[in-house]
Amino acid sequence: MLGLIIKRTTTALVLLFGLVTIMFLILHLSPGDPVSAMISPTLPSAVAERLRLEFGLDQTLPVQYGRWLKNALAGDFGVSFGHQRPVGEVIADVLPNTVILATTAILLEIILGITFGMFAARHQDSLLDRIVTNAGLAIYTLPAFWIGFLLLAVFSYQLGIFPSSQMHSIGMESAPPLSRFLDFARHLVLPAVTIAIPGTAAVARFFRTHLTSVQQEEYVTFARSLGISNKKVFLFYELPNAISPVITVLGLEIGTLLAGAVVTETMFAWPGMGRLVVVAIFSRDYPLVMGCTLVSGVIIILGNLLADGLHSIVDPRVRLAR
Amino acid sequence: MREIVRQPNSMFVRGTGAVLSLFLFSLLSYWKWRIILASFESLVLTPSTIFDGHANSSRFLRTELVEYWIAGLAWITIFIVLTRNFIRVFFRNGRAKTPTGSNFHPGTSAVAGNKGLYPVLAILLVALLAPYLVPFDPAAQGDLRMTRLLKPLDKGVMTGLLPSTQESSRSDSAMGSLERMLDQADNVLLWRQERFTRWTESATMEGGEDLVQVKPFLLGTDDLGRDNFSRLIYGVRISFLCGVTAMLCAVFVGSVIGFAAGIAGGWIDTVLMRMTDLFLSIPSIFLVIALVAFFGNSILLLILVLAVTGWMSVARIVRAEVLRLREREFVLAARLLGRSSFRIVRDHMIPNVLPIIAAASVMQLGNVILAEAALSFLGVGIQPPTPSLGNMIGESFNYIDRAWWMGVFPGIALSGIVVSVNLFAEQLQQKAHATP
Repeated sequence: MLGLIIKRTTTALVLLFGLVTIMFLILHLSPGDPVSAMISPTLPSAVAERLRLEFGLDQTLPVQYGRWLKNALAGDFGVSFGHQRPVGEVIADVLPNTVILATTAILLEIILGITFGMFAARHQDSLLDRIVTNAGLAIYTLPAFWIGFLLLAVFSYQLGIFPSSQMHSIGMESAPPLSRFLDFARHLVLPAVTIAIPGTAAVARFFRTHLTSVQQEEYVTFARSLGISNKKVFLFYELPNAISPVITVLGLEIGTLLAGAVVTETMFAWPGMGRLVVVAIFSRDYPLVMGCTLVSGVIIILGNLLADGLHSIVDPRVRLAR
Repeated sequence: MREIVRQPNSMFVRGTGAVLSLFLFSLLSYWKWRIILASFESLVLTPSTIFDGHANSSRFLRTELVEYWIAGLAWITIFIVLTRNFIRVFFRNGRAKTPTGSNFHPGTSAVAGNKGLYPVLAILLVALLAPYLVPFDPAAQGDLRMTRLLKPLDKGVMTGLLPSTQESSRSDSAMGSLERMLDQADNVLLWRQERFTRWTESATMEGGEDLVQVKPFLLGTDDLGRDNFSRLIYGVRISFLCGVTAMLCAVFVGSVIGFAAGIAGGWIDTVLMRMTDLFLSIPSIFLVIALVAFFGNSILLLILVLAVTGWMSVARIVRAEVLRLREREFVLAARLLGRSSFRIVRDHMIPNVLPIIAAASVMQLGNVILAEAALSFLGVGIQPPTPSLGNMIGESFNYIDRAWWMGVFPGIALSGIVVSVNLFAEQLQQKAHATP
């Protein structure tokens, strides 16, 4: 077990290193430089030179890379060009927002997906089952920005139930905590649902397939023949066996979730990592882009490790196989 | 000899499909006969003038003409296929030629004869025949005061000169026969110069009765007074063809890497697979946005970037399949007989991997189309004024409270494309895994 953990961690670190290197090369080999994008062309060139010196952009590529790597290992990701603050702080400011959004979406996916999948498997060939199995594929492939468009058009502009952008309404800073929370929750609904809809369809469809195949296993028939109640059979025999593949899918889904967050956060003006990275890329904020890449790489790798771990907790066969 | 048994279809009389498709095709041809004719003229005349070495030939070799040529070629192909099908059904008693010789090909047979193929084929036809299907020029703006943000089915009036009348006015001038030919060669572009405005009861036209055409804006108009339906058709074309090209590149790279890793084994395999893992772990949307934002956004670069970020799944699938095949008896037998590894790959592995590559690549097509749409939505993909489904939805966000038709229809088209592609991929996958 320990050897496995060490091996996985080493692989993860090598992957992370490669990821950072590729991103660094893309950033620094691309035409155009951040300094000229930052200052007005009417300023004397000496100013640009000084800025370049200050940011260390005058050095050769290997030197810059080595310096960044050394500082990053010490936990210092440099100063963001655009925000004029340490990158760590800027990311730490917005990361919780993305985490809240993603967690809500994942919870929605799990709860709704498993509920729908369960009912579909219970009542096979019912209307719900047909929706889950046939329309599931279609819903899974709906692009986030179109779901967002429809939700915004209906709930925000036609009905006016949910706000269309940002995390808080204006003037809510001084409101009492409860109404502030409710306001925040109302802002959270549309983006979270936008991210969750395709995932819910995927989970429901996947769970339904596995549940129906588990229901035909001999141990389920055997358990029923012992006279164990339907509820217990479902909870202790069917559910654990059908849920383990779903966990793997969810772990892999984390990457998709981050990618989906880029579009969704841009659409709903949600101040999270996805929006931050888009803005950073467009304004050529090298340190910030590097920091965001590193953080999201860590999140994806952790997600995969977590899924593996959960999988081996739920399914003992995985542990034995290794 | 393979006996073709036609099963009686419960819903349709035999041959309904052949008749219906031929009917629709002739309807389209009748409706657009002038532009079809003009594009054939252009297709024949332009190369001939270039070969003549005419001084002005570069004036007539325009990129705008190419789409009409492609559409013309597609038109001929469809005409031949449909007529052949029609004749086969009604005059040869429903008997197709039996496949003889070594024409049987696992890759083709995995793709053909699959119900899911038809929607994808229809989308491909829409993409190729786009210039014949649009009622308006997708880039043309009407009178902005009148045609901005019109609702679906509002009517528009064409006030432009139709090419037939322009042609007659042109030939009055003293022109040599070659000059006249050259003019005819880009006659097809005259459709591009149509002008239109909103139709009202009191509208009076300057051009005379026969020049006026009243047509509905089927899906309304956008914020710049352009016909939404025409833009949608062109958007489908861009998105689909861009996706197909990117998918082909990605599948090529993925197959090569998968084969190399699977056959070579050893450290080459390890290095290639670690590389695949690395690319899989990158949040590809960051990479894509960064690449496109920094290196400019031409369509070619977009295709390249989508290919670079899309080959991994194909490589993995191909490698797994090659590893599986390597242990099969027929490959071992071939190796025992002393066949070179090149011949083993060519004769024994590629034919067996092709169905699986086909399934994986169609699956990848759906992903690539979605990725392209997301990029265009964010404003780093295909740039306006070229319409793509993604940037049409992106633009519609500014008018979400006034013009729902701007975003709803491109979205329906986009998910329709992706769903039909994915259904096709699923069928291919089932078929590929059914054959051992």
